[in-house]
Amino acid sequence: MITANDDYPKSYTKSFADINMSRRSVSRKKLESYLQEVDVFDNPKMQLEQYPTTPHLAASMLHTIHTHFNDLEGKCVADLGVGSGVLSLGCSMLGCSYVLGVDIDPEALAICANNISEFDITNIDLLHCDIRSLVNHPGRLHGAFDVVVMNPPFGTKNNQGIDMLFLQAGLALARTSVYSLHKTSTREVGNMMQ
Amino acid sequence: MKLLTHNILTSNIIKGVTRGFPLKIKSSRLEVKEVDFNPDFILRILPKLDWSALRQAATEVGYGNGLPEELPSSLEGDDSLQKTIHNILLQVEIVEGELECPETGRKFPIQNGIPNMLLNEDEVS
Ligand SMILES: C[S@+](CC[C@H](N)C(=O)[O-])C[C@H]1O[C@@H](n2cnc3c(N)ncnc32)[C@H](O)[C@@H]1O
Ligand SMILES: C[S@@+](CC[C@H](N)C(=O)[O-])C[C@H]1O[C@@H](n2cnc3c(N)ncnc32)[C@H](O)[C@@H]1O
Repeated sequence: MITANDDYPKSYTKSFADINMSRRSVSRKKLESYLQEVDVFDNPKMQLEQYPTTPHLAASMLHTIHTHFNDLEGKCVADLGVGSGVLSLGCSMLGCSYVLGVDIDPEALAICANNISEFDITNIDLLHCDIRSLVNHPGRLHGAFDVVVMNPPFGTKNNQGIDMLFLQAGLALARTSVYSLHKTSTREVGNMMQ
Repeated sequence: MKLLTHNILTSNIIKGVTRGFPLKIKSSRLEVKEVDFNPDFILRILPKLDWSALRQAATEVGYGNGLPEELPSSLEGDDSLQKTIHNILLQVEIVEGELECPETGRKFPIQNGIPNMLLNEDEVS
């Protein structure tokens, strides 16, 4: 997917052509600098709590998951509430094999799709659906992923409890771990083993 | 939408639908994108997939060639079949088309590679 050969189309891809060579050892700083290139929401919808994870927080979280838990390389990952995609893109840069990003908002998904193609990343798929509909319906998505990452809505905008529904969905979809950011601990990564 | 994604999507989020799998696929535009080949990933994920649904989906979009009816008990060492499976799981992408619920016929459009499975209020169970 990410190639570093001479005819790499530099004109429309962002600057991380060297990552393929050094994926295992890509530093947190380097990851953060790549993630700074990710375009964020044009018109964030407050009702959907479209606050992008900062490149700094995303890089710290993902780098920790990668180096301390070895939970990204070669893994199958879901990103719930993918938004503009900073977490999914970071997972792909750190060597996961496949990511499914899910969001309810078509405009966020369009920005995300654009980010994915600008980075010339080809192992992220997107799904337009409501996380709430995944909770009560054990379909084939349940247990289909090694790892779930997410920065869910916190439930502070007349949508109280949505954070818990995201967690429930995450725990249903993941076989190994769910890494999620929450109100009281945005500075830390919550690691929940099933 | 990759066929790996198709293999894990179900329409049982709709009220009254029990299994909702496999979703029928129609593709009006398809692309093949290069993805790093990781044989370990393919070997690890295959047992979790529904082979006959995958084979069927690949056939529906014109990539069914060379897929055995039954998956051999081990793919270890069969480099060529591993690569064929890698191609249909991760590289073939439906860019424009639709998915269809096998029980209700409800259609889910795929636009710009993204399947839309958002339901109307009255369809949610
Ligand atoms: C709007 S929030 C919460 C404030 C207050 N509780 C409210 O309901 O208005 C304040 C800041 O927290 C951050 N924030 C809130 N939800 C977040 C989330 N899910 N992920 C990342 N940052 C978030 C945003 O950067 C935002 O500027
Ligand atoms: C705090 S933002 C995080 C965005 C992105 N993952 C990031 O880290 O920058 C939460 C995301 O959840 C999405 N969202 C909110 N409610 C949702 C729901 N019910 N189902 C799916 N996605 C939802 C929003 O559109 C938004 O993109």
